[in-house]
Amino acid sequence: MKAYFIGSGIGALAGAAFLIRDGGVAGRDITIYEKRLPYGGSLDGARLPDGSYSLRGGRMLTTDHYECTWDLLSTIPNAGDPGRTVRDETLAFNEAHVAHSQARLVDRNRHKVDVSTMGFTMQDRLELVRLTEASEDKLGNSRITDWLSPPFFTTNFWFMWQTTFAFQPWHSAVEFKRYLHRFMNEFPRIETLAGVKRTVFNQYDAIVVPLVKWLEGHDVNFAGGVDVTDIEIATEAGKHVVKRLTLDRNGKPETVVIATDDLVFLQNGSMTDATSLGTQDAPPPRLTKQDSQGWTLWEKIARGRPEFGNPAAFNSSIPESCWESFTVTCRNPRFFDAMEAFTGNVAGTGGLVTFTESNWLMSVVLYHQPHFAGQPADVQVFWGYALHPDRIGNFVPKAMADCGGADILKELCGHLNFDLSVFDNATCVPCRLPYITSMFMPRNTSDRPLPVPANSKNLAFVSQFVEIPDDVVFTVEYSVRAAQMAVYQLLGITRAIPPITRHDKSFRVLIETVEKAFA
Amino acid sequence: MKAYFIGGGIGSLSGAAFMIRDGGIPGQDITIFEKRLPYGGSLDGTRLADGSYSMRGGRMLTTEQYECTWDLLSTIPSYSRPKENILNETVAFNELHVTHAQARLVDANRHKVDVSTMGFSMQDRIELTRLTETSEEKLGNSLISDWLSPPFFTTNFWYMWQTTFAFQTWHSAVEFRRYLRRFMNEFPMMNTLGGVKRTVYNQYDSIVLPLVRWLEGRGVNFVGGADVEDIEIVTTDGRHRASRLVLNQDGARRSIDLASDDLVFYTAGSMTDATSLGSHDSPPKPLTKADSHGWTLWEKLAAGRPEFGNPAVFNACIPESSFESFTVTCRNPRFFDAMQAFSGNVAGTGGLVTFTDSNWRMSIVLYTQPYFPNQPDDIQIFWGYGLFPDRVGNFVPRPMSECSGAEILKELCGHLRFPLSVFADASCVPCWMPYIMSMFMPRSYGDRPLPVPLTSQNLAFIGQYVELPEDAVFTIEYSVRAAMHAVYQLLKIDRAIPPVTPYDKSLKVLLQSVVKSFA
Repeated sequence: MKAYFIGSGIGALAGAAFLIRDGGVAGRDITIYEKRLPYGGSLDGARLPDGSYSLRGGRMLTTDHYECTWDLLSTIPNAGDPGRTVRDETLAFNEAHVAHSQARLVDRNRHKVDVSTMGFTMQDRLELVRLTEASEDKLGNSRITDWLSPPFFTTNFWFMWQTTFAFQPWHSAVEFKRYLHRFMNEFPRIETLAGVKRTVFNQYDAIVVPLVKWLEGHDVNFAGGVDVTDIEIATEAGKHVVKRLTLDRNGKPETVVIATDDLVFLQNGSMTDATSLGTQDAPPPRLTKQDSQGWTLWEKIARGRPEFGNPAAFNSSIPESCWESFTVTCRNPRFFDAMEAFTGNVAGTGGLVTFTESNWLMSVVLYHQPHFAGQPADVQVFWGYALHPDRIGNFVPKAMADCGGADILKELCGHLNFDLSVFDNATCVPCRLPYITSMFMPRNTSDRPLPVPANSKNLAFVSQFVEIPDDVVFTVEYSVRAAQMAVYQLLGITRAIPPITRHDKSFRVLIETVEKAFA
Repeated sequence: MKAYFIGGGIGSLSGAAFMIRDGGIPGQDITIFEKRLPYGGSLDGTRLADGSYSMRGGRMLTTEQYECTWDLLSTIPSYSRPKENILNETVAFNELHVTHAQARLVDANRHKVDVSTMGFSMQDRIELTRLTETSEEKLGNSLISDWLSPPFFTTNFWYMWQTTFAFQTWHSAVEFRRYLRRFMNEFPMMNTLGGVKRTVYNQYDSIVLPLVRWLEGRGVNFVGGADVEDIEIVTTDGRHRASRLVLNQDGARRSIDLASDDLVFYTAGSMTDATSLGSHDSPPKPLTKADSHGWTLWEKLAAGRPEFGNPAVFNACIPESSFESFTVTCRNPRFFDAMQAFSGNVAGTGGLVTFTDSNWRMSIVLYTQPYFPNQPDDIQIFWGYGLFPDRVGNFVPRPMSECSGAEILKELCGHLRFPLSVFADASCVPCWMPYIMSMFMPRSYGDRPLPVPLTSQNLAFIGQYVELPEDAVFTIEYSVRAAMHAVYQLLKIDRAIPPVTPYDKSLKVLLQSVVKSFA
């Protein structure tokens, strides 16, 4: 038996680890193909050649959810201190650095908005309860705006919830409802982000590197620079069977014959597909899936096979799924000092700071330093993003998408009324992510394949675009859970998959939530 | 007796028709001078040399008002169906295509705003009632904003009323009151535009062309390229008599001596004076009356003759009287398909869609296709406009007036979150109109001449800048009614002019309006 992973994101890495740890598969029988190095997919974090750092995302974790993730990371030794697991390391770090945001929302007067109240009217509460209680069947492919009225979108709650999780008003009502249920226990503390847990370093250094090292230690074959261009599928007695993979290895075509007991795990779709970086002086190029070809394989195999899902539901409207992030490398402490003084939060304890009047709807987050392994002591790195990069700025007369890093820092200083000199010698790397919220696009149930579709013999789907009841996308957890489900099902592993913690069924959480909704 | 019409707008065309039909004047004795072809004045609609279409305006009609217009058009055969008159053709068309807007207002979150309520506070209702019940004498030349407080201008009602009729807060309170009274029956159906009637094609093809053909068939002399530079007036015993016309005909000057029983009908002022078209790649030129000389003759005649009105009241402040429109020629169905899916309205049934968040205050309207005779099947045309063309956009960092057609489409896509590809191969023709709302400028009684001023013997004023009791400007009806008044008075025709229907005196309409204002 051999296993092939197409794409090396966290889903593939986790899947390989579950195969080894829980399935007893030998590492040398597992191959992970990755077209674009480094490994880790969306979970990136890199030092660029010019010394600037870049992170496409700022991922948050929780310990009250992420059941499958912690189940995995409790096995993986930490990179810097192999005596401890990644899980133990993360827990210890978060005990030392507790998130308690004191400047979650900042308005145009640079007011730190009092967010102890959610700002709900009775109508908002009724509408929210109606949405929370509607079945997914009934919600169908409706949008959040189909359920909540315009005033809801001006509440403190919406600003905080939207920017914490990157929801847009036109996104899927089903997914919004799932978030409300899954993270209901975060509701009473949404204003301080107290439930949020951070990794010690960025997620590439803190999660991907130790995981890859562990897999390499088990002799997993990592095949970088390999583009899987086709999956040949035969249909035998109503079952789809993968027969062959066609690869492009550094320009040379190859085929891999798939034996009857071999398994193929496809990462279908990617939220970071077609991403591009700009520089301090230039905006990121505007790439699309035509440039990346990142959705082609899923589109190809889904054609005529409705059980493999419907990629078009997710990747057809960049204006609804795009946002832009940026990573700033500070080379003197002025900005961090000014920001810590303004917010009252030491870096790493504050969580997101969102500017409510920002046309771009910009947020920044200052991490505990250093945020990279090997980061020099005089360098500080923070991350930010904006949900409306196509709008004209408040301080820069340009759409964010047309801005270089320097323009973005100017806009940020405008909102904070900081002198631009706080960013002397700093570099800001903008990152355009055209499909970053594509998994939030309105969808029907059948638009996402099951991790192992009912009529699939040896092909599994592992990604953010599979159907897992109750769990929520745009989380590390979702990919890990999908991988665990796919591996356990195909190998017939009987160990229980950690269930989704039903905070929405907890009486205490419900009471606290109601209290908060009336605060 | 000979009659001379100066200007080829709808006022002149209908005046000539009334002379023939109701005054028994032979067509050969009537001459219409037009400086700038085609005939029809503001009622344009044309296919440009590059195959793009252009309309300066998107005119709406009603069958409950427009009494004089229908009185005229019930005589004129349709251009495409000569057996039918335009009234019957239009009524039949509107029975098939009923306007029922389902996306009248769209907000920043792309919410289709619930406009079943007007959004009035008690103070709004009181102020609106006070304005409606105040006499014109007392309103004087005050502004709308002199009577209504700031919150009124954020109500659903204001957004809808303003963009339906093109009112600005700084416009005439008298005219706003006239609209409220004249169109009071529209108030209860303001949210669906249920009372609006559309012509089968654009108004040039549906109204102007058949009317011109009817007049030509009766021998009326159409003289294009003729600029009437002066009307010489002889004043005897306080009575003014036009004695001579001085024309510039294609560069050659000539004059016409007027006999004592000759009549002159002068279209004083024009809402489309100094308009200019841009292109898909360039903005329109910011012309003014100094370029067009469109107001010169009225200014000359009115100097020293107060009964001929006061043009400076209307044409002296372009920032208060300009807006910019645009016509989009789509060469594939993507935009119409996306818009119909989003709005829930088949093209031609939706009326205006206004973006409340738009800095330009942009609205668009999708007509029943084809909108031009001979329009190819694969082409679709829509029209839009922005009330604040001097403001910087939300998605394009420029005032609309400095934008090319392509940039206007980018802004539109921004509000709708549509990918720009919906406009692949489309062309957008922007149109700058510096005086388009000039007849809404605050005025005193006396700033507009009567159709036949008391001191005038043979000179009549027609168009949008004459004083008719009760009727509302910026309507086709106003020009037709003014022409009817002038012709009937000078020819002493004793057929009754259709009265302005007093909906504001109808108990049913009053009750419905009160109910709506509390909805």
